[in-house]
Amino acid sequence: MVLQRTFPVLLAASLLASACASTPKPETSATAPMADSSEASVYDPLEGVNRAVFGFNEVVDKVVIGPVARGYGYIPYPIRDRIRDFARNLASPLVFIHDLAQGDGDRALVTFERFLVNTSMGGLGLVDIASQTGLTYHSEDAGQTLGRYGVGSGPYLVLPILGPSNARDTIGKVVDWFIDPVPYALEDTDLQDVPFGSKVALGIDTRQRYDKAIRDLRANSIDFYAATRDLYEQTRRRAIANGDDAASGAGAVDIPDYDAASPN
Amino acid sequence: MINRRLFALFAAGLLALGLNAGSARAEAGADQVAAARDFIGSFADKAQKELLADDLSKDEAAKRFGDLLNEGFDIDTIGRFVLGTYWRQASDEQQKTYLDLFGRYLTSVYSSRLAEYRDIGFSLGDARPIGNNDVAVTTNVKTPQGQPAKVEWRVRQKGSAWKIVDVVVEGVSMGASQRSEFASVIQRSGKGVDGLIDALRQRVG
Repeated sequence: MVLQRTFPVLLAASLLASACASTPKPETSATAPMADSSEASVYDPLEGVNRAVFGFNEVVDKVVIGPVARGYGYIPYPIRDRIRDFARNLASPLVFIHDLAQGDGDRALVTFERFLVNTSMGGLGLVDIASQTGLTYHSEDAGQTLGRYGVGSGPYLVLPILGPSNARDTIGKVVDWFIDPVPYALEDTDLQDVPFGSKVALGIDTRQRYDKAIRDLRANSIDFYAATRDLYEQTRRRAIANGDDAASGAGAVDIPDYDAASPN
Repeated sequence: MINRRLFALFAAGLLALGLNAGSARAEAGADQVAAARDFIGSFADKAQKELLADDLSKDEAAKRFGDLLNEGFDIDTIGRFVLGTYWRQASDEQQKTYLDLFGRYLTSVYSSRLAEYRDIGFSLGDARPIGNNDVAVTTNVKTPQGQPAKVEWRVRQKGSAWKIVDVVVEGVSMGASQRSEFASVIQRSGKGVDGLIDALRQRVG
């Protein structure tokens, strides 16, 4: 019941969060080993539709999401950090599942310990004290797990409101909605709306933290759509490689020595 | 029997030699790695000193920024890389025009961010050989409220000088991003490289 009611919103919120997270700088990443000889390295057969949706999202972002996020930015960091820590903690059972699914016992243990420490001593996750003992936060999702097993990104997709994605990551979002244990655990309790609310807050928080970067890219790129598309794929590729630049191909882009090279 | 074994041995030997020679040629040595790291450290110091002086006028800052860009970055290599295979389709004239516009475009984009560099904390990390004789120098960059970001500078020796050929921010290669974007601009313009040249000209005049 509850899940049915909140599904569209939940999906929207989590995608928003991921779209934001992947738009500018930090910890997200991209796809198959980058075909660095091909020009448009991102597979985008639906570009026409994607550009239309992207245009729609731009309007929504300028009119609603951006202003809301900047308003949220007036909340002092000590409070915002508590909200973010809480939301991340609530998301960590799903991260744990994906750590295990990827066969990464070390990271699963970190996620598990973080959840225990932060939920108890961190006041239901409001304070990420685990990170102060070296148990640093990381995120995982079904798109990354699929990528880990060699599933390619498939066609690039721009989802309404939620922003940049691809076939694999969109399927991942749906899978995550089904397997996230937290909403089930809180179903039909007074706290049943908390997982969704925390996801929305996290999405807004993330959008705000990247506000400068997003506006900078928007202003400075010649083709903002193409810039965002490449950024998304590179970011997801790195997230799948768990930040290992060598494995994600980030550092492996071959930049020829043109001076030494033969004609051309 | 013996012949076949001998042949296998011989082949393996050749292979090993080849691999060795290959890797010896392909990687920057420890000296180079250290030198590249020093270069990034001193270049960052210099940039901070020159750009973050309190009484700097905006014009003067932009000028210094352009000079630093030319000094520290291999603009031609970056510009050429970013144009990808379209480089070969461009005439000499187009290549020249493009490189000039690209340099000015970079200067305008990055100097518009100058104010944000003011509050950034910067620390030098380790360095490793990468690609064909290049060195990747890792730095940690911290903005006032943001989480620290890993920024990797890919540098290459050019004669006696070191030059930056790519910047990788949290795994995102700026060169690869720019290349992907430029390819899109060229394809959509329907005018080949001239489409990009027009777009760049609109940006930087």
